[in-house]
Amino acid sequence: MKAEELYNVAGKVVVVTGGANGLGYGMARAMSDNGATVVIVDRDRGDAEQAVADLVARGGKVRAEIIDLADAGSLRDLFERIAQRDGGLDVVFANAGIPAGAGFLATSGERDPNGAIENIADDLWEQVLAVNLHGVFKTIQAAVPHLKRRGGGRIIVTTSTAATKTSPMVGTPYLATKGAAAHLVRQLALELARYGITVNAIQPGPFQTRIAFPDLVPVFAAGSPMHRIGRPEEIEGLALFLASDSSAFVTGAQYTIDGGQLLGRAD
Amino acid sequence: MKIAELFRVDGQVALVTGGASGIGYACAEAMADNGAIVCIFDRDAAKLAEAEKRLGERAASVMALQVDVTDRASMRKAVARAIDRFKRVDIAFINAGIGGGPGFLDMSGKRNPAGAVENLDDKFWYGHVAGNLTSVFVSLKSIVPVMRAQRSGSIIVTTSVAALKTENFVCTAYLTAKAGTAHLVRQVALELARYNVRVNAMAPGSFLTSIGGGRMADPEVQKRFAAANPLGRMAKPDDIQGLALYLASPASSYVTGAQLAIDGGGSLGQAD
Repeated sequence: MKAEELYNVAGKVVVVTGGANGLGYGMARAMSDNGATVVIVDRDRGDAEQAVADLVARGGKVRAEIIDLADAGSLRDLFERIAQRDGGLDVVFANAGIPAGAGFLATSGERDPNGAIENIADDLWEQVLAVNLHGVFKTIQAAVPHLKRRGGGRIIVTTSTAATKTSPMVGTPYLATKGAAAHLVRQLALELARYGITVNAIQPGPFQTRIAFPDLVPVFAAGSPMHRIGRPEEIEGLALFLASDSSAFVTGAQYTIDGGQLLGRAD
Repeated sequence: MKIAELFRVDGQVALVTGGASGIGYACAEAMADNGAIVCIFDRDAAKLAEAEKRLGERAASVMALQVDVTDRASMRKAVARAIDRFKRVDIAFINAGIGGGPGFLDMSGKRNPAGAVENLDDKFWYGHVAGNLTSVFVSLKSIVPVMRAQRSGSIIVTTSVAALKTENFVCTAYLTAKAGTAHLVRQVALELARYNVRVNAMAPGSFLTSIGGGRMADPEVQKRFAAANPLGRMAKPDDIQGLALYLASPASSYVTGAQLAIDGGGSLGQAD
């Protein structure tokens, strides 16, 4: 089959949380460049409106919804509105995520007391949990009845290589929430398979986005077998594959896209 | 970016071992349909001739060679012939593999003495290691120097979900060999990243192919495999094409060392 048929997403109704920037924007662009109807869900109005303007200028059918993922009621209302306006829902990228401050090691390799487990502030823990875990869970909860009504669909969660491997320079709450999200993907894939809904994780390594702290970027690049970090546009192919019919037999999977970070160091 | 640009393999040279049937043929077809030059290796002359004919109707150029991928000399000669004709290898599906042999449970869930570890015939052990692990090593030895010199390439190895999880009705030797292959993929990916050569694994679950002497043609066997995944069906070889083209093309430029499962959720366990 030709690529245009394999990865066809034209006419699909696609929601991307955290779609105004970074990997979410890459996912939104991949969809809108190829004919999908895209709803960018973000809490930042300025960024979201800019993203919409950029994608519409490229010929896309895109709009923004400004939502705080901590508000479950507004998520439910959002998906109801989309169902009314667009006739249904096909794909949800539960992508929004935030970083968690200092890891227990600084980039120098010395211990960073700010990242020590006993010093991590309760409210930092709760904030990261609210977006990276509760936000994912609530997004999926609100979307599933609509996907079931459609007779099937795609749920794609952005996890991280930090879900699988340790990372001393990354804040501990980030690792914990990503690990939980990864396992949620597996359980939900098992539950929802009978409804024709696939649930998969995109597992990114280090990418050039806002959550990649500038002092960490050279460390990640040096430690990567490819000796570079990823560009957000490099997420587009994977987003298209997982959103399209050509991934119909893929569910419960963790699709790593990390430049080999999980492999360890070569030279 | 538009799909046609992201997943472009136009004019690239793609090699597929075990390319005359099943998953390998489906990969070869995906390459051909998207403008690549296709080179298929297989040990079955009859299937090879048939595949060459069918691919010839779709591909820019086709070469079909009868090769035993467990034989170093055979593989080396075949790759040399491909280079001689096409001057490069951009994409390599190291896909050839074998199945068969008894699991420690039979298809009805009862203990199968022939599959018990202490009874397992050596021919299955050595056969699976040769056909599923050593064959990949041999293929890599011939293909890697070409890609390293090019400073570019994408190698896609067909492993199996049996590399990632246990399975009580599948031969122990098969699982072990496939697990070894999966780890070989990771190590070689690490080694070759600096040369801009990516190495990844596709880990299929239940695909309806002729592996293992064609036992999947039996409807009872198909029912058992279909029931073993939450989507409740077996995949057809064509279902690999989206993943194959993704890994072969620049769409996966930041992906190496990955083990990408395509198994209908079979590794998740049982739902209802």
